[in-house]
Amino acid sequence: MAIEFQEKTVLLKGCVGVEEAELLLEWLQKTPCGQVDLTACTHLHAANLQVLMAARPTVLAWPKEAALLAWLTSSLQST
Amino acid sequence: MQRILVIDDAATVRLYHRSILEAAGYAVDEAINGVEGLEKALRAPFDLYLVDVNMPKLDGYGFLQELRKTELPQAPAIMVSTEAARSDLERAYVAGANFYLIKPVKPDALLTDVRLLLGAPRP
Amino acid sequence: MNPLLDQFISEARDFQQSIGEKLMQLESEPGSRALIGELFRMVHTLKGNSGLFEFPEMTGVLHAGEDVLDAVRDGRVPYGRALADLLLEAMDFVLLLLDEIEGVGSIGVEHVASSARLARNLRSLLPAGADEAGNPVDSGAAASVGAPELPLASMPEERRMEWYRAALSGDALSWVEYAPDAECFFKGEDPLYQVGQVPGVVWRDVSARKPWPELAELDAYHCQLVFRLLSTAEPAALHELFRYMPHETRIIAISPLALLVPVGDPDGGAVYEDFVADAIALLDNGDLAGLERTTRCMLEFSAPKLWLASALRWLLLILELEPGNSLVLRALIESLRTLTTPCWGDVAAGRRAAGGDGGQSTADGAALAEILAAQREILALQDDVAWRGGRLKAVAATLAACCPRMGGDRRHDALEHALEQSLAENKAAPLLGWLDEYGPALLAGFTPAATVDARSSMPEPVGAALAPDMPTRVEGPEGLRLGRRSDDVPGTAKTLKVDQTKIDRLMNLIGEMVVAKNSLPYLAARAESQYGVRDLAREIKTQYAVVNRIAEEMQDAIMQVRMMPVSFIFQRFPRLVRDTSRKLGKEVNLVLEGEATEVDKNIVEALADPMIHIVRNSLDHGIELPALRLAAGKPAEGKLTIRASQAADRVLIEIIDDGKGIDPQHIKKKAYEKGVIDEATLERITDQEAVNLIFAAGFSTVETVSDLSGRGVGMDVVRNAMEKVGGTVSIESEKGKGTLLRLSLPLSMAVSNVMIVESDQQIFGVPMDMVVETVRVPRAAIRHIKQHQTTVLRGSIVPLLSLNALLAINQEQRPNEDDEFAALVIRHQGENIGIVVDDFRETVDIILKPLVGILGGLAGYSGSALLGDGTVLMVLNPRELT
Repeated sequence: MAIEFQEKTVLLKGCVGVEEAELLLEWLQKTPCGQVDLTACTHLHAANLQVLMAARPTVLAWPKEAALLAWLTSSLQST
Repeated sequence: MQRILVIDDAATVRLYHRSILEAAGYAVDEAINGVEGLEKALRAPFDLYLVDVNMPKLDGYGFLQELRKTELPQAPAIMVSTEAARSDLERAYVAGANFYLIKPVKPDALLTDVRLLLGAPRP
Repeated sequence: MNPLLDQFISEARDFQQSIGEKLMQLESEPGSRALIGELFRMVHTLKGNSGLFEFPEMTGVLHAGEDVLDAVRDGRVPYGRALADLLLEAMDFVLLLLDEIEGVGSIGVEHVASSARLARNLRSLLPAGADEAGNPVDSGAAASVGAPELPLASMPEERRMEWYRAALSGDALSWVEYAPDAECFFKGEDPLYQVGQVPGVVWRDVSARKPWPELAELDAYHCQLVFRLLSTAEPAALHELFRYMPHETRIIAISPLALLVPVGDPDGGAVYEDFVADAIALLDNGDLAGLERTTRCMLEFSAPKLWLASALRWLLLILELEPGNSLVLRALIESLRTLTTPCWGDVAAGRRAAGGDGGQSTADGAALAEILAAQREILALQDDVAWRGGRLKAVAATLAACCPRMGGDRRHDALEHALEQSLAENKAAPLLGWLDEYGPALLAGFTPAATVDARSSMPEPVGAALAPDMPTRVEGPEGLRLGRRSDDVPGTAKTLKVDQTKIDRLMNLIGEMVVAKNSLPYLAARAESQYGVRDLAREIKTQYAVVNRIAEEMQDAIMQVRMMPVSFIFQRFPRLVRDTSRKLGKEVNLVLEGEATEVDKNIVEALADPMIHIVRNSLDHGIELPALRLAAGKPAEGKLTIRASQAADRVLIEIIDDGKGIDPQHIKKKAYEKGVIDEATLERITDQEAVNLIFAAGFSTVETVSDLSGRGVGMDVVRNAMEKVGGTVSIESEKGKGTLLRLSLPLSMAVSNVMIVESDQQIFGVPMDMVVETVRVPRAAIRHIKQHQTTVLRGSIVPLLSLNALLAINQEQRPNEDDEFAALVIRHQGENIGIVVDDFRETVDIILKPLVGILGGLAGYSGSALLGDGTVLMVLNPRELT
């Protein structure tokens, strides 16, 4: 499973596809203080990025993958 | 995809415009005179019209006047002519053109104008 | 070749021809405004087409022609013979150029003078002081305006300096803005993956098209993202990467100057006038070292956060990297007076004007300014035409398009409101108001910082391929695509122009099909005789009947494709008759009939030369000079009719003149003098037979070799040419009344019915249309007259020739068991001749292929054909044999 929901944290792992965006959004809607762990994430479909950008959860850990990291930090870290 | 109608009686000019526009990713249809242009527009209106001045049956002015009389969504129209006279320009505007290009149209100039006249792609 | 050039040549030929025809028509209807109008339009269009390429010699002449016709159209210049002659000459010149373009791809320099002369002559017909090109539209409205606003200034100065340094060392720098379609997720696109593919990204940003809604309202699958990035990749690579989303992407090549934006606190009070004056003086004196010292000094005394400090840092960078770029240095120094970024677009333009590098166009901003100016002009029109409402809507649509949607919805609302008001009041004022309010802001959006790569939505290779000045560069897939497009224009082309080689290929294929089909009866025969399976043989025969029918229909259909109207040749005659009769001082009214009659292409081509010959003959010898005609009680103007019609499977061409006709007595005398006939014949022959003598070889009544039809070529050439394609020619003439020449040709020459004959254990084909009859001649019935063998058939003597002898085969013909010889009676020059062969076989339909190459020179054969069993049949041409 590319997405694993824990009590307060969601783990995104491997290649997170477009279908997961819906689940992620639902979870973030239910869990206002939810946090995101991207350590094991290698790619994130843009729909997930959009959800994260709109929800602005705390990111506990960033991905290791350099290109993805660059895009995620520039979209989720600023302001 | 945004649709452009190229109306010109010269097949060479149609091919020229079509090639430039299609290479830029626009959907292009052609008409050989104003009458055919109107028929095509009435069937499915276009987002932009590229209209020659001199054509048999119904010329560019006639086409624009008729087009502007219809209830179709009024899309921008560029008149394309070899004439550069002030009087022609005004006649084109009176008939309903929104812009005027002089033949031969340079590919980059055409694309710049087309891009501006089509605006941002519809979401 | 470039498909565009192909299209141009093919269309230009059509135009050239039609223009010639219209000019001829105008001769008979000199006052026709419709014709003049049409003529003008065609010349105008042809000129426009030629302008797409670098053919100034052609464009120049056509332009002159267009101006003259325009003047004729307006009544400023009368239409007359001199003008018509010049225009015809111009059209001939255009044809010459077209041939050259098609042949070698360009126009040779030797035509420059002719072009200029023709254009000058044409223009000399214009009233003095005529305004030849009209007043060019003033397009300089906003030439200095630059490119769209990029948030470059908000990027860290150090980074920008880094990029500037890299750019000067040759790195590209492009701005990519990618706003994926809102529905893109449903199309399987992943924009994040897409941007992840971009190489050399040095700066990136993701934002939303509009502020994010409450999380509860968010639609995860409605894409709102906008990606922006700077990349050092080559623009071509970026275009390639985003080629599937040209509408969602803006790719802008950034000029290094666009990075040069000082930022920081503008120090309100102080003006650095002294520094500016010193620095300019140092720059003017070329003391760059001094300038650098002064700048460093100034920088040390300035707080780093000041706009001033930022500008000074840039100044130092330029001094380091481009000490020779005084324009930029000066602009930067002078900007300290106003504390605003120099207008780099102007600076670059200044550099261009100063003869520096070409720079790039500042297309978008200038174009937008022009478009907005045009809308303003349209709104200012003081008329009240019926389509005014539509026109207002179109202006609103144009303005809306020019007004970027991102974050600008208030402007769009205002625009909609203005349009409603304008329509309700039938006044342009509300829209004009909108333009006044928002127009300047729209234009200001284009800061002159970056220069736009105007081809941003067009990949480079295509751009190059389309540039008309390099017409031979279309290659690869783009070229193929262009070619396809020209063929499948939906609904535009009612006729399809097909390369003749394709039709020839179809012909060959159907030929092979016929052969393959013909092998089925052989197969059936073998099934029965060799394997004894009669049922299978019958089934094969049934199948054969079906295939045979289809093949025949198909053949017929292909023949139809090859048919073309005789107007193809007829259209040459108006000009020919006009020029010739004028040269001869005769007046001739040409009447063309049945131009739509269709004939096989080969036949049409074979017809052209003989017809021209006949027509010239009629003009030369048939129709009399006006004075003679009047004296003979005929109208001064002669009449020449060329008529085509179809009779069964043949086409008839009749060329009729009302001239002086042929005098049989004169012919007889001439023929006798030339030794064509002997004295006995002279006494005996009828008038019609005498007239027919003009087809005899070596007969020509031309007393003086004229410029026109003479050259010693007689009507025998016409007859030979006709016979070559299976046609005949006949003549009817009445002295004083006129002459009728009738050409009769097969509609199609693709399928021939041949009789197979056997000789020396070989088989040969003989075209059935030459065979009069086949007879068995008993050895006893053969008489020897001198060296010749003859026999008597139906009361007349028929010479007999042995096929073996004709083919130089040293072998006697073989009689059958009853000692009878097989003789094929063919008609040759009005006489029957018997050709003796060994045996007759069946007749077959074959597709005759002419012999080509070395074999093509073989006399006596008209071609070869494949038979159903795969053997090759040589088809004889008995006329050439005997």
